[in-house]
Amino acid sequence: MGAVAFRKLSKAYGQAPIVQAIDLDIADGEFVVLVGPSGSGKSTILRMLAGLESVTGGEVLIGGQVVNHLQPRQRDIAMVFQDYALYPHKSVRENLGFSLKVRGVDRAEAERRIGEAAEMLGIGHLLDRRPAELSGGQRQRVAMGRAIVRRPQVFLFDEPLSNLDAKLRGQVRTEIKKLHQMLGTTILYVTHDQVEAMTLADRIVILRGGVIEQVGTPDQVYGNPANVFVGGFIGAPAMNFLRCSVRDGVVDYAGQVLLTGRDDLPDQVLLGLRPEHLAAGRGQGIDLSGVVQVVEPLGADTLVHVDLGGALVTARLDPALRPQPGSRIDLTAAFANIRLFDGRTERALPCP
Amino acid sequence: MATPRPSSRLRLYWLTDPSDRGLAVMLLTPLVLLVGLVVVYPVARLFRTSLYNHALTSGMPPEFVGFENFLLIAEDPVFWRVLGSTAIITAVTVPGALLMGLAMALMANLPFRRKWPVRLSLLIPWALPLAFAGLIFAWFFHSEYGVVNDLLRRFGLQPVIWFNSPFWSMAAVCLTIIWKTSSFMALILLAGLQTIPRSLYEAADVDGAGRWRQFREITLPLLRPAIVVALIFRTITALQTFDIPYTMTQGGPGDATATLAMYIHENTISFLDLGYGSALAVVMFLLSMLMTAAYLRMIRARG
Repeated sequence: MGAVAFRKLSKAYGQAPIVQAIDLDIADGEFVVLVGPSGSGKSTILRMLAGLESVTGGEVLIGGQVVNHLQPRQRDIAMVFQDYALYPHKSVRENLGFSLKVRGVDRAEAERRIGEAAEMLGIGHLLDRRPAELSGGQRQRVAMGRAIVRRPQVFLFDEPLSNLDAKLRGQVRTEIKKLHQMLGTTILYVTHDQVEAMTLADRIVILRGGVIEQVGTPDQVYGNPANVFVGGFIGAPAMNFLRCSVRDGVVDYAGQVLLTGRDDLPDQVLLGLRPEHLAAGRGQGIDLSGVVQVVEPLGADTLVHVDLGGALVTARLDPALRPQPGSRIDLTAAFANIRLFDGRTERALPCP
Repeated sequence: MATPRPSSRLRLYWLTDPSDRGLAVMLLTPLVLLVGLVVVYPVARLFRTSLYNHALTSGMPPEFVGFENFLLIAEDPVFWRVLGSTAIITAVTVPGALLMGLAMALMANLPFRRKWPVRLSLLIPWALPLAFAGLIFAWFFHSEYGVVNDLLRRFGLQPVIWFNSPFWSMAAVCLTIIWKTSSFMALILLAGLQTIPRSLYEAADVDGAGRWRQFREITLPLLRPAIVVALIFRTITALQTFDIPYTMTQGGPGDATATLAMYIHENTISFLDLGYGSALAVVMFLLSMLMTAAYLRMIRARG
């Protein structure tokens, strides 16, 4: 029913390509997050799916039907906009019910669905207010309610949390996830925030410059990034990268031998390490040594920025360690946690 | 600094706090003087003159007559005729210019690749002097050489001798006023249209509303403040209509298209009867105030 597919989907403004031949299949009921920096084409893809943006090339399919030529209202989708786009002169009730009124749903049924959605979102007491009389979080909920009452095949979310403060963002994020578990409707969700992507998605699509860099579950894209961009984009603090040279199967970082016996590698590699995979001490696999620059205690753990003599790496360490800025520190990482990337193409290489 | 005060007392703050009073007076004085000089004084003078018998042709000094001028106005059949014409012009050209202006604003708000030619053509009628517009259109409506009659003939219709009939004269004047004034209406409404976020239309698209429905349910309600402002401006200028009938028809035939402003002009400038002319001007002033108050009440009642 609510399956979505893109076939060589492209968008260009004049000569400038925005989205370049995207292929993607989204199963019915799946929660897919499109994530990428600004200009990556993620919002354009969503808007092409909604029918708000024309398609330059390729096809958009909803429920197996090509919908390229259909108006937004004919596509059986509902969208939550970044600025919520609530009708300012209508009450919350009228905002929720507008699509039903337009579609000629009878009043009793409309009232029932409005009540149901309001109940689900905890906005029942706000139905007679105008949007201007609501807080940011309440408006966000009304915007979601407006989508829910429609019972569409697909929900589209365009950066829905970016106008909320940090605390509220976390709260509403949880609610969106709960909502998906309750309704089971396909969701396409656009964000530039990798935390939202990781926490919400069944599958994450990472975009850059109108091209898909990687598609996978949160675990896959976090654990095995397809390239340096994905490794750096997903996860905060970002993955550390060490530029190493390879000679006779020996991987060498600034004179330190890190790996041996790798005859399959190109002569330049980037060695990727997640901050939490670095531990203080020696002997777990590869060993590094450097000078502590900055220490950032987070409570549960402490981020330590270490200068390895040129490259800066961030390690997530036990807060009990309390390293002093300026002091030397030894870091070690297990072989299993090392990721290797081609030094030129920046693509992932087979790992040890 | 002073302790926070309840907001109800804030307005009198500068009068009651001695430390700030001097500054407040200093800041307000130039503005008060300016408004007094260019607004309050002339209006006060007008009201005063309206209470005098002050005809320059009589050779007599001004004589205080109280409200006699106003009693004369009430019995003056010409006054009632020009008031009627002014009312017709107002009743026809205000909605006419609003509709035309709205159509033009909606057109100018379309996503043209180059916006400036559209905006420029919108502005041209507004930039043209009123008297100039009157003269051009008098030529357009000329019974022998005018383009309007030429068009009528080409479509096989009877040409109209516009300025011989009270009805067609009035029609020509109203059409000219609508043409001339709708561009200013369009300008105000275009500014209003541009404050409506595009995402509202996108949300309505997704919600399933068609173009007409979007116009009725989003554009019109959100444009209401701009419409009221445009209506206030247009109504006041309509009540004061002078240049276009003056240059087009000189009020004719007879006084069929003479307006209140033209009658004031005639009494004051042609007959040099300053007392009677001022009294007529006071009536116009009060009418304008009344209409504005009515519109403002309308916004407050619905908003």
